[in-house]
Amino acid sequence: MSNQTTATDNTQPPKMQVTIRMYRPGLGDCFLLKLKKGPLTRFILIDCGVLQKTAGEKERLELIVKDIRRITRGRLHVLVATHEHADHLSGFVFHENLFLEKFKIDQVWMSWMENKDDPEVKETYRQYWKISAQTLDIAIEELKKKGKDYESFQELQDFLTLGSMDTVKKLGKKQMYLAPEPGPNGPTKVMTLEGFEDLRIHVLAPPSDLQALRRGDPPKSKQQLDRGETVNPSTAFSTAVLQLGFRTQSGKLPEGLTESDLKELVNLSLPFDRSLGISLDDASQDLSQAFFHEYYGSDSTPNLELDWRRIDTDWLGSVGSMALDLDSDINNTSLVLAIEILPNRDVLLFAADAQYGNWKSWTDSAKGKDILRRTIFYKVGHHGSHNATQLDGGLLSMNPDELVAMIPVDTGKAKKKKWAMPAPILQQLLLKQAKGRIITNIQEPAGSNVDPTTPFHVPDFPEGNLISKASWQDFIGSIRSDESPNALWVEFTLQS
Amino acid sequence: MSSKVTFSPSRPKSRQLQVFAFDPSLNLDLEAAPINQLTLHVPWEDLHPGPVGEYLEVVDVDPPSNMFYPPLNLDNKYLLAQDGLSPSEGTPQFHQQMVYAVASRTIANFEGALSRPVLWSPREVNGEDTYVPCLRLYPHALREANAYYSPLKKAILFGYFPASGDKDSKIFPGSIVFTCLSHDIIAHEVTHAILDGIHPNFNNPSNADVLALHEAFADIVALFQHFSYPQVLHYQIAQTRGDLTSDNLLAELAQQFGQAIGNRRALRSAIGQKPDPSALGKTIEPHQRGAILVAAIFDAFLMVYNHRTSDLVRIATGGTGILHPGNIHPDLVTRMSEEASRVAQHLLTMCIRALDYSPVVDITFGEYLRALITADYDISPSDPDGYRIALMESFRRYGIYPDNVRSLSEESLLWRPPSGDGETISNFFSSTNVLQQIQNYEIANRSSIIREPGDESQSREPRKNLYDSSSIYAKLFTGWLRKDLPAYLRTIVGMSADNLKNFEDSIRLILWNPTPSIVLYPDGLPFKVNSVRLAYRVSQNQYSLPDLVVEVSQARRGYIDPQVQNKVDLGQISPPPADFLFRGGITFLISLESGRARYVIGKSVTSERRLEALRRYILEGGQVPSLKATYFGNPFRDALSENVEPFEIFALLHGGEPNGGLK
Repeated sequence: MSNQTTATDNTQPPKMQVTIRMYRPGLGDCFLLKLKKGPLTRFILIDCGVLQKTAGEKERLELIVKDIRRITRGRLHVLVATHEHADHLSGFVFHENLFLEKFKIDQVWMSWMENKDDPEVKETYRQYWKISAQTLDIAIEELKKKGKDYESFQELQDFLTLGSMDTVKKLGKKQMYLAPEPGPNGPTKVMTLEGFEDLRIHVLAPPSDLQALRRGDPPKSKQQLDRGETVNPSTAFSTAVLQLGFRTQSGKLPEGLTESDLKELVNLSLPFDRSLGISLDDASQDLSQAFFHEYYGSDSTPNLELDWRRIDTDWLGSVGSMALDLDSDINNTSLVLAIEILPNRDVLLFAADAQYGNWKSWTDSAKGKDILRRTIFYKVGHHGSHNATQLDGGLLSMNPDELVAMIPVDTGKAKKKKWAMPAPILQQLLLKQAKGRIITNIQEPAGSNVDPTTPFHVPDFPEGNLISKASWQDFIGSIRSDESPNALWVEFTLQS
Repeated sequence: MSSKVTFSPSRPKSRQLQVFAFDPSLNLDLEAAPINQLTLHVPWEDLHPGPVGEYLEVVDVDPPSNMFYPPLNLDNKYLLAQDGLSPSEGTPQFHQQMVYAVASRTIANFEGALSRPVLWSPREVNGEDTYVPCLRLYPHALREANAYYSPLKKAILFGYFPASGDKDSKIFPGSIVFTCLSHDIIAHEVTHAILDGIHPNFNNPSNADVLALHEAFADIVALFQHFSYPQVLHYQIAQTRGDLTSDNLLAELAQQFGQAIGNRRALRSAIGQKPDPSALGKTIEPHQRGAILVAAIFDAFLMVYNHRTSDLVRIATGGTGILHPGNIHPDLVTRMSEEASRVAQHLLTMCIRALDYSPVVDITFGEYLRALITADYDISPSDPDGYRIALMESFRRYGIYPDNVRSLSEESLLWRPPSGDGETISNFFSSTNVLQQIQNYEIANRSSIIREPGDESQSREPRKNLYDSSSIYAKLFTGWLRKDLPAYLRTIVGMSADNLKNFEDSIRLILWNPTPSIVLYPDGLPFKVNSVRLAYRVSQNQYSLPDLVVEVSQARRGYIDPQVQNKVDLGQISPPPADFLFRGGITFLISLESGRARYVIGKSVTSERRLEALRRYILEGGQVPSLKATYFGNPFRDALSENVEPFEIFALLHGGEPNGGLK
């Protein structure tokens, strides 16, 4: 009789509906996950930022934050801050007050690397980051002063936002510092949300052995040297730069380094006894130094014969490597989360900006391989740069039947800056693996100068028989974008 | 009446200067200590404080330390009496002495092989090439584990850095490692500078071999230069009992460099790579690619060395071939050292001379092999010692083959004399009025080329005169190619205007009818005569014969889109800014005696095959992508564009990333 049908309906548990909204601030990450199960809804916000000095960044981020507030009604269950880079955190910093006043945020999740009470973190990481960042600042200033090329270094500097994580921590009631806690099969740490047993969030990275993830040998802190560690090349280099800043740029010293500390470091890194030479400043002022003035001279006494051959700033060139190392090391502290949806056990992989080393720490494990096989959604790392997605044993192991990828990149901006984002080889492989199901944040139509409010460009049907028209239609049907003139977001709803 | 008699000794031929034979780290190794101090003989020249001489100026400015170290006066009588300063890591003036000495030695080796003075690449000032008399050496320029030649500043910048704390390294951690105290690094960098002077276009990375060749060539010179030091060789041969394949000092380049930054084996070790013919296909990175070439040439050295010492071993062992255990007889060591030195010198000379038989631009390893074979053939047609056979065998083992060559045999590898229209050019050069002027080149420059130290009658600036003379001849050749050759072809050969166009195609040089895509030089011409210089060879009956080596280059605007390319080539649209510059040109080797062009080595800008290869190379990124490439772009690829900002290509090449950038 008629009651039969309602009885069968009641025994089915409600299915989880997952929507991933990628906001469009420019070149930056801001993802809002909406998890709806029956009457229950939970929101997870993963990062909110845009590359520094993007035009109108503050205003656009404000619109985005307000939109987030509207959708979530001010209630965020989890705020994830993956790592300390401006294109992931600037929104929180600019609009700290909005978050504090208009939101109720239960938990702030960060990697264990952000826990300043951890002594290893404090000493080995924070100290050298400060030294490197300061070295970069001074070198850029000097190059600018002397009219040399500095722009490409400055662009790396634009990602730095040391100290921002302190602001983000305060935005939620509880701070969680997460680590993978590896066992024999791989990472074991799993987080859950109250009332949502069907959701398991695996913490995959960053691994505890960050030493292995570091590029090169970064500058040492004074404390490390006091403990008997030896001066290494980066320390010798950064000492020289800090000394330069101190002498000529009314130098501010990095936290923890006093003037006498600097003097000591300078002496430790001098190649010869001081008495064997005179300072360049003294030489340029002392006209009796005939050889110096005949062959070298100084900027204060321009001389067409000599100017072109001076090497006053050539040594600063290696600050590029230091900046790259720092950028890379911070990227490798990325918190990597795999959001697993039961009962299908589909996985949404958010790998922030993790680079190859960070990936390898979990993809080799049995659990890692299992997770990759079930990954049906991948937030492409680092705006699609080459080093931020493991290919063999990573992307190429993800579920090819259902994989959808989202790339938070502004290709116009990247092109203007001459950055390889997305990297051509990655694009090619993504196309094949995801069968064209790639949602790119801001894609320049050929040859134009795009601004973020350009309406979202619906992906084109891929050539080469990768996918059937029917499946493609399903895919396109799951995409929605903000129709308003601000074009703030694009979202993808998982098929249940 | 008494007449006054004075005695003035003549100028010495050489000056003795002490240097470290290898990296100072070896001072810590008791066994090696005796051979590390070496006294070099460098050609005598009057020196000013610096030291500053005819070819080099050492300026000891240390910007990272904000210091200046006073210059060394090597003509000081105390120093003349003692072979210069004694080796000392803590005295900056010794460093100045060492860079001067090793650089001079390297220059002397090149001059010996080429029989002409070394000229540095000119500097471009307001579009004009300007003569650069001295290469500048900055012994303490950088605080990093790097050293590089700067084509922009015509200088070599040497870095210094504290040794890393790797406990397996021989160097005391924290102690400073100076790249300017490494014989190998100095020789390597000076070689880059000298090569830049001969072939400035070899900086242009239009294929994966170009920069690799620069690197490999610099390593080869440093490596074989070591073999010219008898006492070092003697010690090493005694140690290895004549077997130079074992892991030994001589073959490890820049050992200290490698040690200090934590790699125990040298960064580039020529020995220890088993020949893998497929390796070249898989390797793009310039140093790794270059290492394959170095290994191939070193293997050829070993083959000839072993062959030449086999009779000594037979004599010493009574035919068994098995040497007694323990030390081998000192006489045997001496003879083996002599052989090793001789073979090394010959190979070094072959490698250097091959530069004159190379294409102007876009060189490949295979073409360098052809140049090696042809250059040696011109010195010794019968190859009694089997050097060419050894090279061909070795290159075969390493999978290095030239394009379009069916087999690695001497006949197929030798450059061909010109035929057809190429021969017509040959006839043009040997026509009377042109030939006379060509022959005047040697007469006009004899005093610059054959310089006797102490010969007061010579001009004050022989190298500048040579440079100026080459510029004059370049203009002469430009005029000949532009006007006299077409006149000759029309009147003497009877070519029509159409035939002239075909002529251009067949000699692969566009002289008179450039398509709109061909770049015009400031003088409005589609080609440029880069250099005119003399090279020597030996005739069948042992006469030394001069050739004039003339290099002509040109460029065509290249576009990634073949349709755009086509439209521009045909003049259908006015040329938009090029995506890249496609370079080509011709190397002529003209016999001074007859005026005949003996070889015409060409790289055509009309070759669609080569253009397509360059297109593909650019699209594939041309280099392993890395984090650096993500942000800083690929400067090696950008270097191929039309209006590229000048940048320090060698600094980038040398300050490479560990792990290929992946971490």
